[in-house]
Amino acid sequence: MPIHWTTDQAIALAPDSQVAKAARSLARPGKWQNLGRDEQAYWGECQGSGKNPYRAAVLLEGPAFKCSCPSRKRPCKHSVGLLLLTLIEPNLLREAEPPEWVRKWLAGRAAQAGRKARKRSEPVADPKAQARRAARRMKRVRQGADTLSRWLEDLFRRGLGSLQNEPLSFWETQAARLVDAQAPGLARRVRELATIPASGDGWHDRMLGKLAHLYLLLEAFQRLENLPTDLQEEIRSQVGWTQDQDTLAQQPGERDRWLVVGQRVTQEDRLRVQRTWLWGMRSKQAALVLDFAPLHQSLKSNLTLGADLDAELVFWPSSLPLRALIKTRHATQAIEALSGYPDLLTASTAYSAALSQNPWLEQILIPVENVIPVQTDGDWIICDEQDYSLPLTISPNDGWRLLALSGGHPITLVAEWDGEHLDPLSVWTGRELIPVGGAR
Amino acid sequence: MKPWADLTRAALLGTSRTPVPSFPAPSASLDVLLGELEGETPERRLLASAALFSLWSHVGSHPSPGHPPRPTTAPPDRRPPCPPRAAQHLAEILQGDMGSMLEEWLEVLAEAGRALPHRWLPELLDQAVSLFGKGPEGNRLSQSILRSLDARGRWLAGQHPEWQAFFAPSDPDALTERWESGTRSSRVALLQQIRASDPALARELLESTWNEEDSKSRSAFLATFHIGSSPADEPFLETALAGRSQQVRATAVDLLARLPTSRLVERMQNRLHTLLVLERRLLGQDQLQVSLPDTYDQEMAHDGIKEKPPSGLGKRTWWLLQMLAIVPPDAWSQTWKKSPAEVLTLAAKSEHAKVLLEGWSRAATRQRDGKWTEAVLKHWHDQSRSILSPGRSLYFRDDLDDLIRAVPQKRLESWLVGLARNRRRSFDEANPLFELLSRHHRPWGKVMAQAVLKGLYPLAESRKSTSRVWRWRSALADFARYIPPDLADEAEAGWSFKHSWTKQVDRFLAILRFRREMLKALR
Repeated sequence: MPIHWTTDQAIALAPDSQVAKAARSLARPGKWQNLGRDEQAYWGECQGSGKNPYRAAVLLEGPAFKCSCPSRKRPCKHSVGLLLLTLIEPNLLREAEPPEWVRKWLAGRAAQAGRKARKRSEPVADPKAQARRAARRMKRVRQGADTLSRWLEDLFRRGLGSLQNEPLSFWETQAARLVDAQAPGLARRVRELATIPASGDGWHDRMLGKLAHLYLLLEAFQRLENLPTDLQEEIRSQVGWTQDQDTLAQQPGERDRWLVVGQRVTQEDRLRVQRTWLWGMRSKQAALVLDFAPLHQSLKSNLTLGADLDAELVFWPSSLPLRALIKTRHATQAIEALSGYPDLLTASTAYSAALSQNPWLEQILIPVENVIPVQTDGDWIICDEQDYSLPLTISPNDGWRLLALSGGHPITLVAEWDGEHLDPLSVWTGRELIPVGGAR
Repeated sequence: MKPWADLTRAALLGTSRTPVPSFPAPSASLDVLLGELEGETPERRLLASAALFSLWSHVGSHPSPGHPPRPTTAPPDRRPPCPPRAAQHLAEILQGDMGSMLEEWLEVLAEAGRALPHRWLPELLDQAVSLFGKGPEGNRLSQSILRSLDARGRWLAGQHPEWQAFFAPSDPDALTERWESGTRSSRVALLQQIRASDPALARELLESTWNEEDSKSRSAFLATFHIGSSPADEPFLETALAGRSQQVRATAVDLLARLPTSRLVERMQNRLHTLLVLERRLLGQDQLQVSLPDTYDQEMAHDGIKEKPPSGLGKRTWWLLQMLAIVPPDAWSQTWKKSPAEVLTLAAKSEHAKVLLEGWSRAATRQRDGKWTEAVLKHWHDQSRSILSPGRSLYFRDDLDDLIRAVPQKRLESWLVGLARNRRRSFDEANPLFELLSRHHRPWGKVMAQAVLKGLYPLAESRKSTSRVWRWRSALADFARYIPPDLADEAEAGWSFKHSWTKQVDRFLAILRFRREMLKALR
């Protein structure tokens, strides 16, 4: 657990606001008995509406939660309440031997981790069957991609004008076919297209851009074997092949001081996706950690904004390594310094370079120093000392927040850049990292 | 960009209807790539061109050179920054459900001599602007926010069209311009600010445009003269009194009444001189002789006395009441050499007792006379109790807030403690203790808080479900704002028995604990 957890961060673990509110009212000594702690975990018993008190425990590594209450939400209000209580009144929990039920739980988790490790180290069950499955999948995906290409060409023969009148099923049917063809990445792109005809002015520009981009992917996929290996990996990833994270975690990691500089949560279908951006202090490289959760569960997040992690990261193979997972964490502290690109031109050049390595790159992380926010006619831009500027995609309130934080003085801004929109994630004031913007 | 527009148009129509556009490629490398598409079908050519072109422009994306003028830089804050824990509390107040703690948080921040965290300046400035003019509480919070701004906050406000209207420019020309061209609410804000530091300047500004203002504006502007009021305002107020609008005149009367040396007060005293006479007796008790004014004349109208009484009151008694309400009650205790309590007792025994009590109550409240307000409050409580039933009294509830606020805190609380300790009467029956406590909007003393809590525990335990009991339960969250936060643990222990007030008690304790942490972080 990060050293500097705040009650806000603890509350953020709650899967919804109801749990958050209930957890607050449970974060009182009067509600708990038999509280205790050791180096691994906290535990306690909370009187609920039932006859016996509920037993709740928090494992610091993770964190992970356990509670005997019947609620299906995880973590439940008792778990979050216990965590809050330990932050508000740390002296209430005394060092002690964990009770039987806590020891059982921890032992169970250790056993599970052991099983997973053993499974990983076991040889593959039947390499021939695996190879056959892989070949079958490749055949299906190729067929799916071919069908999609022809569908696209047909669309361009007819013209995009007709798309405004197409029902949702027009896109859904195609997406479903791609899922059947085991190409979920392509399916996701097709589903995204469905919302564009209704997106207002300039929709046909956006539609053309996205369709052309998709076409580029399909053409690249057709020529997969002729491309360099790392570009092949990226294309496979885009089409929908995934990596086994346990296997990936066995690869050598890149050790650096990784700064957690931004977080965004978006919703895709019935999943919530959290993008956590890390910036390597030495390597000046960005890493993106993705967390997924169904709507009624909380996003696992042991990465808190403003943390400086001495850690090893393993990247997904790609022509432009970006997505990563944390293999080992050695130490955590609060960020004390943040250096990024010295000006906007350098940042923009970095984007161009990145795009040339991965044409399907969605956004890159731009930490840029020495910029000031300026308001023009209700829109916000940032300017650097070379007199270059970029427009910001930001709510008016957040624009004023940027100005309040800057005071007209240069600041370091961390943002996502996709070639058109600069979406701020946080501001480094020299002393602390303040989150800015984000989904509301 | 022309080529992209061409491509889009072609895509919209479709290759079956229109040929694929060809255009001079903006760069050699793009030219080569486009050339390789020659042999393909039109659709594939169109798709590929679009892909190449889009990628090419993205890779070439470039920040724009040149920019609008940069803002000035903010001077450094004079106060040291707010501690991080305290800033987290502010975040919870602004984003969570502790919104009503803002005023106290700002006060403690000011006491600690710290600056507001910059990241919350936009929200606070927005609040200050939107609360302005929304009643006395909103106004107070708005002023509180504005006072807590340091250099960064004021600088930021200066950059924003709506926020800057609330700050008086120091340059006289800019000030005149802002005065003459602003909206009514920004001009009221301006006057308020200037009245706080230079009342004469505010008066000059208002005088300069008085004749052109409509009555609604005049009334709003004149009301700011409560700030920094002094006898120097009197000539202008007399001018306002001579106007035609009822509302403006009422405001002027209110202001003049608060200047004990004003001629308005003198005129009222002269009128009352003959109407109220104390008959001293050597043997037996003194008596108060009361006569009612005979006629209503122009001078009375000029001095703001309304002719038509509200229903239930005779017109002559109404005139007497208004006159009494203007003269500082202290004048009577001085003249007759009697304490406020003695005067009130005399009044109660006289003819027209109700009118006298009512009039002196209003006068005491207006003057914020500590001795008189205390005497009035106790008198009403002991004698008539009808102060608190709206139908039976002319003394409206809004005034009651001011009355309670005017009584010195120690005396008020020691009296309330006495009431609270008489538990059976105070908490169950229709006793005014509830009304008094719910209007006591200052931090409660420890002794009184404990006495009140001790009265509430049995109430919750009794499981009674009358509306009189429920009102105590509903008021818990409000009380929590004023009870000393150090009592949090004691209160929690006190509530640890089975009762049906769980939800409200949880909220009550949450507020107390939050306040305790809040104060700890800033002290």
